[in-house]
Amino acid sequence: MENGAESRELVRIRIDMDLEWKFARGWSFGEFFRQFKGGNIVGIKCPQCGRVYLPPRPVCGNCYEEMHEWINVSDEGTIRAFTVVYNSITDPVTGRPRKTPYGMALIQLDRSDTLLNHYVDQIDLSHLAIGRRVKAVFHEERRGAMSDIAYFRLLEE
Amino acid sequence: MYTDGQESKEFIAVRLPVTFNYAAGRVASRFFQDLRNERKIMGKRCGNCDRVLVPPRLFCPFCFCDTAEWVEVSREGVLEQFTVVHCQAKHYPFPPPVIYGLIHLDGADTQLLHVISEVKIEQVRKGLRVEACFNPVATVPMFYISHFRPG
Amino acid sequence: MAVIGTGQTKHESRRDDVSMQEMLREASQACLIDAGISVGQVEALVIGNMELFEGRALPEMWCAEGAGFSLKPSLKIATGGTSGTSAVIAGYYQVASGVFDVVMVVGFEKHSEGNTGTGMAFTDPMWDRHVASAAVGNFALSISQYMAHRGTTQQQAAMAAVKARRNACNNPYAHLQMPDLSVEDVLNSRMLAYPIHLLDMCPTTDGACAIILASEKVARKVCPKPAWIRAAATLHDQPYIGDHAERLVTMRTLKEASRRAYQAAGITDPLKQLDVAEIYDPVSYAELAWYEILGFCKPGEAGRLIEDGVTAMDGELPVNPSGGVLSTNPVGASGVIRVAEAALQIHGKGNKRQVPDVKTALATGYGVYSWADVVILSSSPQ
Repeated sequence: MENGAESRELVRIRIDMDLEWKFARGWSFGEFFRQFKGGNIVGIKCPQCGRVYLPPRPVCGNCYEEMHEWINVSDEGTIRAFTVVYNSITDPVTGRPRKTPYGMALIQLDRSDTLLNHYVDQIDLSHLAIGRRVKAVFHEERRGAMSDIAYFRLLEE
Repeated sequence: MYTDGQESKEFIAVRLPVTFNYAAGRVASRFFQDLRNERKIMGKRCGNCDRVLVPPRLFCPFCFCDTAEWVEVSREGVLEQFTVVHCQAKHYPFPPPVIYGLIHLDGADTQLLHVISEVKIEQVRKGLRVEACFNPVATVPMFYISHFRPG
Repeated sequence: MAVIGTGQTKHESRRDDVSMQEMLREASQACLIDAGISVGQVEALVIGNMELFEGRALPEMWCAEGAGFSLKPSLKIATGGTSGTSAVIAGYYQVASGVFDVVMVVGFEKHSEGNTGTGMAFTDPMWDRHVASAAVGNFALSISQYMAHRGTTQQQAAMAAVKARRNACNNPYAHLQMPDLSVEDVLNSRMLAYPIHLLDMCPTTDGACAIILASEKVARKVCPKPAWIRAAATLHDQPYIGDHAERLVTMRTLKEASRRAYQAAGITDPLKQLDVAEIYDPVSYAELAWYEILGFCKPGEAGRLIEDGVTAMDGELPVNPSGGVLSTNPVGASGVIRVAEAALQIHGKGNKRQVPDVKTALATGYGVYSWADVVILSSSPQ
């Protein structure tokens, strides 16, 4: 190739990485999933502001107070936000593209103050609204992970 | 990224298979092409400090100015430093033992990191003269030079 | 202290012709030329880059070379969408502290090399990885709350998307330039997650943007019209999406950051006192939500504001003359671009996108669930 000439072919270098991690559950998630496996959902309460948090964590970010009080939270709640997803993306549980469309919502479980992101069993937007009541549907086999809840079922209006 | 059922009391296992596609850029692309098509090792000279940079670069990292002309350097040079890797990890490209070295090619002012083989470990030493061997069908562009051997 | 120069690459979906550090160098070279100083005068570097997206760890080592940073301190900020603005604010701290006189801030991203699917790593492995939500899904959820509370319509949001891509036609660096885009086009584009259409969302882009921050002493010597930084505020919030009851409606981080910045800069009536705003708009609805939270209008009136053309190029407060994030989104650079575009308006270097007589400019950053940055620049130091 003559001097000064640059490449017409532009090279791309492909690297495939298969990354693996193991995350320690720690005491707050450890306790949460111990109860969860038995079908019981627990939140943790800040002694100062009184907020019941899901997921549990050792410190309330607003008050900087340690939290130790576990509160039984319902498996029923209220939709606070919703959408229907049409664009397929990878399902983090299976590693494969998730079949679309699927309904999704931010749900406030009774007795908790935060919202949980999960699937809902409704893809018709005319049936989805903020304020609708839902109930968790668990898989038969429980492994002690968030994916033990398959989805939330809309309750009768 | 997915959890493949390895949850336990103590930990949650997560896997993420992912592919990256890095652009080599015009300068590196030509370097790789010349390795593959002509078995030539090309560098680029900095017009300011006169260093010949191998691998070639768009700009001189010492002077921060654009590099000037392309310069062909020798396929031979001196092994300046080396190490022998005896351990094995999942992502290592070669089974142990592997010799990696910094090679100062005749005509270049920077050193090239590569694999040394076709040699007994006991015979490798600083100052060893080595020569490049080529593999035009390599799948990773830097391995158009397959390895260096005593020469 | 002030922004004395800016530089950016022509932002595109794929830059096959340059490696990451070569791309970074284009922006830093352009910036040095614009500022009229040499690389030797720059004392420290702050970079903004989401290294996980490209699988290119330690960009402060590998890519800082593209900004001439051997034997100089360099620092990396990786905070999602706020990477760029937070990097600018980190640079601001470095100069304001008196430790450095001249600091370069470079934001960059080469999305074509990687995979935003790695963004899954940003979520909590115990809690957030059971649902295929991702950025679009998360925005869609927040938007349903916003629409319910404020009555914003899909048409009004689409107007923001149209304004952005049309404004981008005046910006030679912008990625998506669509002179004929209409509201119908946006509403007819593929629905990603209700109510977000494809054209409501920002793109992913390869690009870099650099600015130079200088102390007053240096700025007065080398820059004919410095863009003085009058205020900078950055706030993060609790980590889970469910911790924020109504993110786009209340956005307490942006509300508080803008309150502090307005107070520091003496702004009591943003619509009147700001001459231009470059706000971080990853999705069309967000731009409208930010109008309300930044105090450009009352809650519920953002739709009317855009319908009345108040934020158009010829309106009372032009928002995003550059085209915004909706037109150009190399994530690590997007925040730096906001500050650069606000600064160059004050420098008078906006060319076809120049707003006349800019004295005060606003730049904002937004990231993850509700991180917020606010920077206010002015043609006068106090």
